[in-house]
Amino acid sequence: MANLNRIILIGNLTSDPEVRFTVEGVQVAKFQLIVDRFVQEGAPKQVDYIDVVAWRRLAEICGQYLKKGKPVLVEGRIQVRTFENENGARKWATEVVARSIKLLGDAVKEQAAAPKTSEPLDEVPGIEELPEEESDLPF
Amino acid sequence: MYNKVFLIGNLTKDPELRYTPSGIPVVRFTIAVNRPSAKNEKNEVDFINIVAWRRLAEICGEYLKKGRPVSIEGRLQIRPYEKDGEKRVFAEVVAEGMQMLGKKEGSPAQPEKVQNEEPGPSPAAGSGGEEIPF
Repeated sequence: MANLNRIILIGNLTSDPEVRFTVEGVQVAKFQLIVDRFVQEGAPKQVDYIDVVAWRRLAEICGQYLKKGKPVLVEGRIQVRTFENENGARKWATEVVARSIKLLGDAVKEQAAAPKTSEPLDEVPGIEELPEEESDLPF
Repeated sequence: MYNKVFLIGNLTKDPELRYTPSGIPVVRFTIAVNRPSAKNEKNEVDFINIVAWRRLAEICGEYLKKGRPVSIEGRLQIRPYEKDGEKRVFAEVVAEGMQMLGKKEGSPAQPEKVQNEEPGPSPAAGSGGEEIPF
């Protein structure tokens, strides 16, 4: 049976992405998205804080373009992995491994004051279908 | 904001149907989802927690069984909680839709009708509205 694991998120970055290299020299970016839950009108706001990782070229692009507070669309898969914390205890982490990322919204607004250019700034170039890296996260 | 998840995997065990103190059905189970892997590589698996509420919970509790392939559509929810004074988070997919896939191996020609053996709403201990009772 073929399996499927796909997730699509739109949210805002809670901080600037953290970009590092693994010991093998592979670039990896990590950030967190705050995603509003759908609630009934008048109900208190609810959110999920979702960790996202990106590898290689996509990680590089994240480091260049993503900033705290920016709205972003992330498409990828859910990964559940175990790791040992500093006390040697086994912990579980759930995160989204990004396959493609798209900047949304306010890149255009920031440019509004400037003379209009025909160059759209709200799209990160060429970051579809990057191979995933299976090595351990350096954080 | 947008949060959509699509999964196909197999149940790691029979789902557990429970009721909140206010009588709302809730079911939890885990599905094993294979990661795409190259030939000759070790097959890696993500074990993803699923929760469903109300009518969908009852249907899951009645029909889903360990090992069965299932398709889940929903959203990823990250629930903070505290254990031994330590802050933790619990990640789960809240199912909004479920579809059973494939045929059960060695089953008779007619689909197996599973009777719900749960004794009905049980007075669960604990407090707090829609807290998950397990």
